[in-house]
Amino acid sequence: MRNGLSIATVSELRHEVEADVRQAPFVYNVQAEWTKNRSYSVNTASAVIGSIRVPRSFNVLLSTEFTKGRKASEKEWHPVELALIGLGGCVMATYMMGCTTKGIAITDFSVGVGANFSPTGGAAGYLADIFYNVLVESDGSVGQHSEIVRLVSQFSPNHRTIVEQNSIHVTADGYENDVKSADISRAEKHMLANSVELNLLLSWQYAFQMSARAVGFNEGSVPFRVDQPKQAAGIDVGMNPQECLLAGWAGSVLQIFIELCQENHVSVSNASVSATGTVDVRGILGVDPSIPVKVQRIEISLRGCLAETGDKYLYELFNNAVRASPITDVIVSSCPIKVSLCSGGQNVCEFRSDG
Amino acid sequence: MNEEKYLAKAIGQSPRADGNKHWVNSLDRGRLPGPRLESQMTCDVDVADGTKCVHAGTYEDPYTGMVGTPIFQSTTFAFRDAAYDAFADGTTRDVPIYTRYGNPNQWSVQEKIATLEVAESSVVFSSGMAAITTTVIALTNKGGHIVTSYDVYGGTYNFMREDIHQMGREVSFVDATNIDSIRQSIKDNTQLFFFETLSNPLLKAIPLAEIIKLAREHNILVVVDNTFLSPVCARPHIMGVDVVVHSCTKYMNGHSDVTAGVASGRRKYIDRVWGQMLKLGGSLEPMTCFLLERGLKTLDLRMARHSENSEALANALLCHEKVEKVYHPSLEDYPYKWVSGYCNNRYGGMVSFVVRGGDEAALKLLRHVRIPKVATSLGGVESLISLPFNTSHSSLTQAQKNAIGITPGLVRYSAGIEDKNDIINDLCEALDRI
Repeated sequence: MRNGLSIATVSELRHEVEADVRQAPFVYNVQAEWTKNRSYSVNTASAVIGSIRVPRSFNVLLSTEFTKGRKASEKEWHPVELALIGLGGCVMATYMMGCTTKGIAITDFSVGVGANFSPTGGAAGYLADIFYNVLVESDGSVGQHSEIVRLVSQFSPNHRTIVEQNSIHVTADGYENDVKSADISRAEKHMLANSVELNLLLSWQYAFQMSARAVGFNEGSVPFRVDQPKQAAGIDVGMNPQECLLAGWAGSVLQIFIELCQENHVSVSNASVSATGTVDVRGILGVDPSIPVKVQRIEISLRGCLAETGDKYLYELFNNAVRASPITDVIVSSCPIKVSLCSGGQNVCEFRSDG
Repeated sequence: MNEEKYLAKAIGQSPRADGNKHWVNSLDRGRLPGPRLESQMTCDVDVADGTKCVHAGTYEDPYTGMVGTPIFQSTTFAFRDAAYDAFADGTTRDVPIYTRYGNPNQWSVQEKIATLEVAESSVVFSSGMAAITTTVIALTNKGGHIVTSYDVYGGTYNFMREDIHQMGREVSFVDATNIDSIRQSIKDNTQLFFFETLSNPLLKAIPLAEIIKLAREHNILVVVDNTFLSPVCARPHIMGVDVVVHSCTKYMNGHSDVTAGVASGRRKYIDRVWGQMLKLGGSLEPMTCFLLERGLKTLDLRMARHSENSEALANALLCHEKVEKVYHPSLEDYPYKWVSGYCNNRYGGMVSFVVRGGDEAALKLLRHVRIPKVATSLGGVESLISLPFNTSHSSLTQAQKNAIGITPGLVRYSAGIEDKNDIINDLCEALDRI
């Protein structure tokens, strides 16, 4: 196998989803929780890969601080970092698939991903200047890699989710509504004085396995592993990139929701937020150009919230939390991404990718 | 020799991953049944079972014209370009490289079994337990939940009870004849149902159509052990079962001289099971594949005889004063009528009955029978007789035995293909003497 990936299996999947569209949707679910001891965490729930249920048992502790501000020994991740790992991980997986399709053997591969986070209060804020740098060494030519990086900007589901506009469905306690780009106030989308530069590095290991660290903060930090379920050619050692994106989003919204409850003197015992999204793999595999590549049917729900207030008011607070999340902004709005590629020791190309 | 033609069917297609490909959508390989070699016989779906048993999968050697599959008693095969390409592309299942990966004898017998099951692919194993454990591990993930029955075969039960949780999965045991019990066991992480089409030793059938429907509603895979029936008496895969496993030691081989197992189903699942088998190592060596293939040639004939004999024996036992109860799907009082939904009125060779006088009387019975051997196992041409209480179910507590209906005096009879009157007369005479 080249790059640890059975391209025959990928090829078979491509033909299978073309012949049987029921096998195309890959549905991912996560649940973020805030518990009585004031800690945040996010778990993956079972995914549905085509027609098969796949248990996913990953748990990540979430922090309200970014990695660079914390002690090295802690194993928590900030939700926004998690979402960016989802972007970088998806880019890396898609890029690796493209290389393997072309018969290119990778020798060294990493993706640096980041953005500037401008807080507007607590966990709320905006992400701007989203970027990723692809650094790859292989037996392929510079021309091939230049082509692949552009293909990735077309076929990476998380990349497309960010650069394109989307609608999300919000539910809580029987109330529901859709949130679109026009519903998000983006008046202050410029760097504020206290903006934080986020920088993460994903290092490729084998096939779809990769690990992520915060740049400039390697000493003792625990790498975050990203992979795919074994039904999708992985070995189940970590969340997959879509789960990372959803986990970061659910965690971000939950943190903001708890902050809003506290600001509005609503006493909450515990709360959880679930997020779900579907990738129709006919998009990423290029089977049908009419099928969107991006994550679709994106939903976020408030569940199991024990609070001393009415459901309607909780729903309003939750809706506001959703709209204030930087991840909601990048999902529903069309946010450009700066892409650069370095291969063979040289800067190969740089371009701006937008919807 | 035209290597490409020779290996064409084994290879299926190469995905042809190279610099000329633009993106994944231009890859060539689709999933094909098999693996198969060019010189292997295939049979159409509408050909009768007897014909499939004889001919499907047979390797017709193009050089000697040998009738029947030769024995490829080799662990390794000389590399050709196709093998190197297979390593690069991930198509090593389709090309002769190393016998644990694949051997023409395995492909022949696998093709025969897959044809009988009306499945895309099969993979053979060194035992039925290898087939079961490898399939369950391959098709489940860490954190996964498996639902199975209280009265599966003892080896399966012990694996589920003692080992599954060690691998980060969990298991629930239910009454497989009760669809509500199965439904109530489903959780968010349930991903596999494992049941037997006829249980051991009380021959309970499962509501298979309802189980499959329930599984589809919850995106759960269904694996069944069809050992007691064989693919000529029941084809669960056609009904929608995802993977069917057998202990080929029993009816498939049919001569009590081979230990083997098999898993059959859609190629995408069997490829995964095969990949797991590579790592766990329970592959089947060429000589044994040859014997199994030979045994399968008479499977249709033998199952007809086994079924006829067990049904005749069951009816004869009903009339005997020393017999308290008889278990056989052909009897009027058999409670699991849904068996007719997946059995073609042939129920295999098993019949169980309870003698008056408990286990002591049953032990006496064993001393007086002359035709059946007092031995474990089943499904061979010779009749076998045993008592579950001190053999297959001896590790259960009395409470566990009671829970699944194993009562004192229970006898399990595997009816062979001897003359049915001889079998009946022998057993009745032995019963008269206890």
